[in-house]
Amino acid sequence: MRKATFKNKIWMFFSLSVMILFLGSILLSGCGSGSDEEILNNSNLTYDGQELVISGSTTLLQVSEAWASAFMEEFGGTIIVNGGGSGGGIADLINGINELANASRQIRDEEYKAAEDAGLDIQEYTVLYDGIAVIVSSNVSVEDLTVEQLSKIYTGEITSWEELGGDDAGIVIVARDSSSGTGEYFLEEVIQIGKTLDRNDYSEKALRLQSNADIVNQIKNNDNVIGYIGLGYLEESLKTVKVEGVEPSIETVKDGTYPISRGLYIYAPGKELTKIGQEYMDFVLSPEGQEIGLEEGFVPLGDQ
Amino acid sequence: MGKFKSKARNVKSFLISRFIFLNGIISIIILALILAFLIANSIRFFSSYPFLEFLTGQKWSPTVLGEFGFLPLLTGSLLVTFGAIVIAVPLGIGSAIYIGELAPKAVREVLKPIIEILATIPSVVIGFIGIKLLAPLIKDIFNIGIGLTALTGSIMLAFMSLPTIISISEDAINAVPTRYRHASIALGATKWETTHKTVIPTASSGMVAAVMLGLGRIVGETMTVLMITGNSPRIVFSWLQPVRTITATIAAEMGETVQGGMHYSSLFAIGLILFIITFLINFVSNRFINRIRES
Repeated sequence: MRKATFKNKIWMFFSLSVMILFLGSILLSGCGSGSDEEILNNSNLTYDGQELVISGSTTLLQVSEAWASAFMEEFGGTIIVNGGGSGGGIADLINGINELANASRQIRDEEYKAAEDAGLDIQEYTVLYDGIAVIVSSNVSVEDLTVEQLSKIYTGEITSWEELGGDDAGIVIVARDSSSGTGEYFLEEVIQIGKTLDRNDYSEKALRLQSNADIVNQIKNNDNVIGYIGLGYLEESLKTVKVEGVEPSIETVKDGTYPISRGLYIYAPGKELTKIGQEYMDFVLSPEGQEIGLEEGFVPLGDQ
Repeated sequence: MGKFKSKARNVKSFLISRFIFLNGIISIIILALILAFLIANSIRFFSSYPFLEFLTGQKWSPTVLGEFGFLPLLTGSLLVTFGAIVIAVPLGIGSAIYIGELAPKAVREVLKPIIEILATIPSVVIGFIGIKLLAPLIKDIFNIGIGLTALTGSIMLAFMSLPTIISISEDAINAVPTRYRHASIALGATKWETTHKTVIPTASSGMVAAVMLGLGRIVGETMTVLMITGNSPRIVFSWLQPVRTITATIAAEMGETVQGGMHYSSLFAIGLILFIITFLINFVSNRFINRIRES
């Protein structure tokens, strides 16, 4: 009798591990097609009964949801906003799963070609600007860094704060993973100094974290750490570093003096959009849509 | 009429046996499909990247240098797994012996279900505990820059695998016939000698199976290691450094890859290798389980 229950247990664990394997593979294949979803419904407005599916960059996820809910309140319709990363969004576009793809990086040649092969005439809209703030632990006394110094820190060439005029302490580097548009942009613009040193990569010692919030968390709780986050995630309590003598702020990104800022994009499959898609794009680029972007911590297109 | 009834019963039993057969075969088909899916998606990588360079490469830099060295990820996974096993095995086997042999009946009946409930804690919650409680502790104890290290991962993973190891080991101890114990004591052995020389050797293959199943859980775990091991893709042989495991690499990088591209395919390739590793672990533990059944 005892033996039988033992056998059962073993089999239970076996079937469980098979199940875990199966679920894991579903997760793996599902990685591309987002997690966060927002569906709102309104009635008796212009676009009732029409649906718009958007997916892509997690950097743009929050502001897209804000755009979508403001749009639906004004014009009706149903807008579904998914995450999934810039790559996932563009893949969705090529596969005809979404109508608009959010991206925090520009489309790559490989993707553009795949889209052409699928008969798409990809259109790019720059919708906002984003600045990337360099932040350090509160014990770090260094206040100003050049892009070149940042590059040397992140490639592992400079390892101590002393070399930068600070205390004699090792630098702990935190960064985002290659799946992050912010991480990719920082790599190209800062570590590779605008792609001029295109063999430069993140130091193998850099800790790669999953979100802006993770980076903030590690910077707050540890000493001697350097990291970077999107301007939208900057809090009063965080210590920022000036880059080339310029403080990161909406103003300095807008007037073009802050060196680490980038465009954020929406990609469409062709010049002709559905009515609701076109109206959404007009809304995003309108003063009202840009105002929402500002509220979410990004920099409006305005006069840059 | 009677004949018709028995015919209907035959049909019913035929259908039921077919239905059960179908259920059984479906899981095998699904497993085969998963394997086929992994292979199909990793073909592009294996056919265009030299296999030896992949296995012996020391740099994982897929987007910048286009180098797909597997060694940093493998050493990362091995470090975390080995550490977890070193912590989990003595604790797990020890608790199993206590629960199975020494604990009073009342204690056993409370302890065992509680330990099994531990298995149901979601890995993301374990990750939170690792980030918020363990990582600062590790940082202070070892006086290092940041607490996200291989050791942090090992400790949390050991914690996750304990319920499996304890529960199955305890079952194996329980499965040792009482008459063995009686015979041992009748020969003049003490309680400890009986446990040490009779019960443990008899239950040992069950304990090995328990450890192997725990190992399977540790190797495949993703969320926790992604959150607490720091994910630096380099070859280190210290538990106090951040490392990046195979699973964490797949989870962290999949989102932004160009679908169907080289980087995308390389992630499927390391997924395939991971699948083979966990398959082998399960295969070996299955052999040990069969050995118990035969004895």
